[in-house]
Amino acid sequence: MGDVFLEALELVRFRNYSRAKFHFGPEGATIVGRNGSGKSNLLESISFLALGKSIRGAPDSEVAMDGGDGFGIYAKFGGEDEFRISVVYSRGRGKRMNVDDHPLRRISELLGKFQVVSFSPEEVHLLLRSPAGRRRLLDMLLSQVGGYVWYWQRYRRALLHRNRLLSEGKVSRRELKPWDLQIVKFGSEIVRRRKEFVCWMEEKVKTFYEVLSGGEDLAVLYSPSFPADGDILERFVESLGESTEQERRLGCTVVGPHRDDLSVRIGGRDLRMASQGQAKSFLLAWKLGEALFFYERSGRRPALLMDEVFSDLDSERSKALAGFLIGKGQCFVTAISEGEVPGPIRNLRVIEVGDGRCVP
Amino acid sequence: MDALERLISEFAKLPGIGRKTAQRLTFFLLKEDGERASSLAEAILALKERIRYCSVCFNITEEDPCPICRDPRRDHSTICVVEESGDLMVIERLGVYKGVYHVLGGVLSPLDGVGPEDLHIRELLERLKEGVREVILATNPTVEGEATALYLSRLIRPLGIRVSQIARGIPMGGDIELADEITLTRAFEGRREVEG
Repeated sequence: MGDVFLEALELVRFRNYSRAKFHFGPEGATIVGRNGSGKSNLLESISFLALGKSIRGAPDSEVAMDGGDGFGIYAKFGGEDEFRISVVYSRGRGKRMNVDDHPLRRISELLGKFQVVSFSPEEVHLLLRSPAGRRRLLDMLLSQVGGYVWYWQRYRRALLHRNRLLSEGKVSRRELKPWDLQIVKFGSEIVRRRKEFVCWMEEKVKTFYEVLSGGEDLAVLYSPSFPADGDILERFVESLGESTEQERRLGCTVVGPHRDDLSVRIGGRDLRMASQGQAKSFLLAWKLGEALFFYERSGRRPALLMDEVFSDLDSERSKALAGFLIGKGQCFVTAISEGEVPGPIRNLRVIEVGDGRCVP
Repeated sequence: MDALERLISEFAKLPGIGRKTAQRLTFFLLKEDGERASSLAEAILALKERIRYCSVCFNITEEDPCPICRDPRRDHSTICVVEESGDLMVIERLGVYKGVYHVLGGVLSPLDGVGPEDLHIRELLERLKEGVREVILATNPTVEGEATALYLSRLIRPLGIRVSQIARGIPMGGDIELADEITLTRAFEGRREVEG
């Protein structure tokens, strides 16, 4: 399968864009503009086309201009496959998505049409400093791959029911059992996919990180909440059985993918002890790994949405990163000024934004 | 204008009807002759007066027990368990199922405070004492529907009664190529031997 690329984008009442049109080439663009001009918002709108929602985790109502009644994102794609995607939200009717003129019933029908890997400096802190953030690191990519979201939604729903029963105290095993069976069924599939994914990522991320950091050693390890070797479903059942006492005491489910973590060690030290620069380089290496994962799985390169990647990287690292980004599918890079981006990136078309529009 | 306003606000309480539609319905009835209004009022009253739950299967009915439960031509040794009467009607319309039904009146849902004692499960177990050979679970494929089916199956199987679940998978006339991964997985789980 060949690459597809975002060819034209129109935003209506999205964040600070009241109405704006953009045209992009297959290699992507460098988006320049001063702070607050809408560079990140533009990248965010592109993420809607892949995920059906904001990559920043913002609710739809918040994304509408001035907290207004709605917004529209209309896109045309070209390359190996030509199609259009639109995401339209209005307060009354909710969110509607179309591929060509075919309305989608679920977000899951959108996934896989167009894929993105994104980086933003806010994420460094958000993703790396808590287990929940690191779990998001596992899920953001997997969510764009077949069926994962379905398993998650089911798992979460069954987990909420189960936790409710546990929180009420005196609940019989018989009543818990159907929920046990369901969290185990859906949860073990999530764990299996995460494990496989991290296993695949490990070496790639290590290699990217070494280059970006100038030779520092990195180790990435999936740490599930229960020993997930051999028959994962069987292990989950055992751990659930062993945690009965603790569950009764705490009134909630203590094992399962909602308690997983990702262990990252840089130069033998835990990520929590890492400097801001090390954390940023790790996240970048991880994102490059994600892009490669997509490519190997689908034969298509995802669009890279790289927000302020070059600020506070020294020139050596900037150049190394630019080498990884260029020629690997469509790439969108933001910067305050053109001078900020390293050599190879300067070949990208420059688009200037200001006051919610594309500056001609 | 109290009568007018009263009817508008009553209509507006119905599902899927907003204030505008409620007004349109009210003015429509106002213009029509009296017969339409009284026939509508009667129909509504009759619904609440005559329709009740079957004391055997909890289907909605005008006569108790319901026509299905009283029909000697139906196979009373097979019970199909559904969530609501609406599900029963859908299966009945097909005309292929010859057994009887049991309407649970909902699904297990701890988040909504619905437990086994809130459903007609005790009554189902009572019925099983009377020569039932098979129970077909036809709850919806939601997390709650599945949990309810699992709960029932664990209660009934030890009684030596066959428990089956309706197959989930690719719709007839559907294309395997177009089925999503989950549907296909479920279709594989529910595969069966080819007859003949």
